[in-house]
Amino acid sequence: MNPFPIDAVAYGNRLRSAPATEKILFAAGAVALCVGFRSLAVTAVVVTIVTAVLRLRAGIGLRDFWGFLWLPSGFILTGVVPMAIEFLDPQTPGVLAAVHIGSWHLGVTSRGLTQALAILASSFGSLSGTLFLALTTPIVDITDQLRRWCVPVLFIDMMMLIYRFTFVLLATAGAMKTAQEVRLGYSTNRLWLRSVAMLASNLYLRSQMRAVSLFTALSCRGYSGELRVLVDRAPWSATRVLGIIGVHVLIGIWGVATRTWGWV
Amino acid sequence: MAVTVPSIDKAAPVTYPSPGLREREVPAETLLEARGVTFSYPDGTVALNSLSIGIPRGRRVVVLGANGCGKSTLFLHFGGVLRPKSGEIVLDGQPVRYDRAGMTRLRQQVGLVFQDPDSQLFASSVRQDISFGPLNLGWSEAKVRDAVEAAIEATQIGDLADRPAHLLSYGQKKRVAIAGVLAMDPSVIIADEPTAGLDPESTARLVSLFNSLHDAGRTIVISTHDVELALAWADEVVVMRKGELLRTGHPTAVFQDPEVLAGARLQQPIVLETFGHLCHMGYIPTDAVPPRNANELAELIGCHCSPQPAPISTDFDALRSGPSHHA
Repeated sequence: MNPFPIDAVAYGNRLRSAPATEKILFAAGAVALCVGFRSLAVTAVVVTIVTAVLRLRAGIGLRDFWGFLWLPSGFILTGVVPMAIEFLDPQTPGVLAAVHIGSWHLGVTSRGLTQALAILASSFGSLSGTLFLALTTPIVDITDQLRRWCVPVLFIDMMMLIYRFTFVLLATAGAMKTAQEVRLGYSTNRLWLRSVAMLASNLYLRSQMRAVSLFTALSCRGYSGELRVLVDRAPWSATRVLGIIGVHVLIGIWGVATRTWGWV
Repeated sequence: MAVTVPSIDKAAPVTYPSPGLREREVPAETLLEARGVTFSYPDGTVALNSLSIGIPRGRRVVVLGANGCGKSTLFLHFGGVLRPKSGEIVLDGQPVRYDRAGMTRLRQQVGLVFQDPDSQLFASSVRQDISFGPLNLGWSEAKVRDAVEAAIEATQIGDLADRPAHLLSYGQKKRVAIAGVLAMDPSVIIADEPTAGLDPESTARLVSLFNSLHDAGRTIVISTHDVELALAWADEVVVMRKGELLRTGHPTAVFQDPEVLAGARLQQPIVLETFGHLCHMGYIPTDAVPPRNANELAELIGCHCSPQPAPISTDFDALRSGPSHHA
């Protein structure tokens, strides 16, 4: 069983076999547009397109997509709301609403609101772009692509090992927790705390041992400081890449137009 | 699989007829050898005590012995992970050197498969993991690709090649771990308890994989506690006790040696135990060739009907002389 739903979707969706180059390009373009324009309108268009591609091409429904999106969105909202609300001077222009608590004036100005909405737009848009990549592309394909782009080996090796051993660690922790649970290790609050502490320290020791045995096993296969693995050449279609760039450029033009002439 | 059957009269062991050797022993050259190897761990545990063992080329060798008798320590010496405190490891008649060139040679020739596949698999995908070893040998990319594909084919994991390790079952991980060393084209594959924790079908598949690797000319060394498997499958059995060699020889000979069985606390395979009783009771002539599995025993007592085909073949003899065996 896969403990990470995003990982499971990444391996099970219909865009799994699509070239990573194209998916990364699509996601990166979406993020760039949202961050570049910081406009709710552009973000709305981008999120709509991302949702449509996920639904129609990857087979990931709106409900599933939102299931992954709501938690980080909550973080964004809790960050953005305090940004919109600020301490005001009584003379501040453009106050939309304010409350007076003693000598303090707390309120929302149109400038502050615009700023908060811009940040909301760019972060929510980038989030959906990144999530698109996470839901359609397994880590393997992403690290492969990074190798092709000559990202430093150390960085990729760390990524690969962390990814691989996250699952090993979780499986070990799960087994330990079950073993504690069946011996009533979590039956009271006090026992809970004690069991968690034991689990954590044991897990640390286990990880150390795991690292030693991994090093031994790698040495037996001739490890000498670099985790070299084969990477296949990236297949991608010029038509699709041009299509993706075309869509992004169109959104970009539309974004510039709305900003310059106020079209919507 | 090893079902404990109450044995008849444990106190007075039945004396069995001297073992007849089915396959004529052709002396094979020694591929890998431990010469007077002594090793102790930092906590003072003496794991190997002037142990001398030779692994003959092209044989299927099973190493038996109780937990902690030094099997894994011996394997780690063969893989160049541990260095003997005294004595030496000899590969192809040449003592192993522990410099870079010596280690590269040893690790290419000796493929070590660890008991826990999770300690061996590190890469995000199966194919990448298998490519790690051959790339370390400095081969060209084309040669590495060929070696990886050949290893994937030999271990029949083509459908898993692009999966990450965490989506594999335990048995599948074992096969991937074997593919990882096989891709380095070793002369000998040494597997530490490869069948431990596997279901009967996976065990049968693994044994059949080892047979096909053996047929391709490789030497196979495994450790196990499964005496039935050792009897049915091995060309040669090595029995260890407390870091020392207790006995080595043909499985039927070793498993009929009461001193070895008692010394290494080994259980006699049920087939041989039954054979012994039947000899004793006069149902089988005492000069009969000892059987190595249930079918051979059935033939000895005159049951010539072909056995019902089992849904899962755990009959290692069938695997031994089955279609994969065409050396």
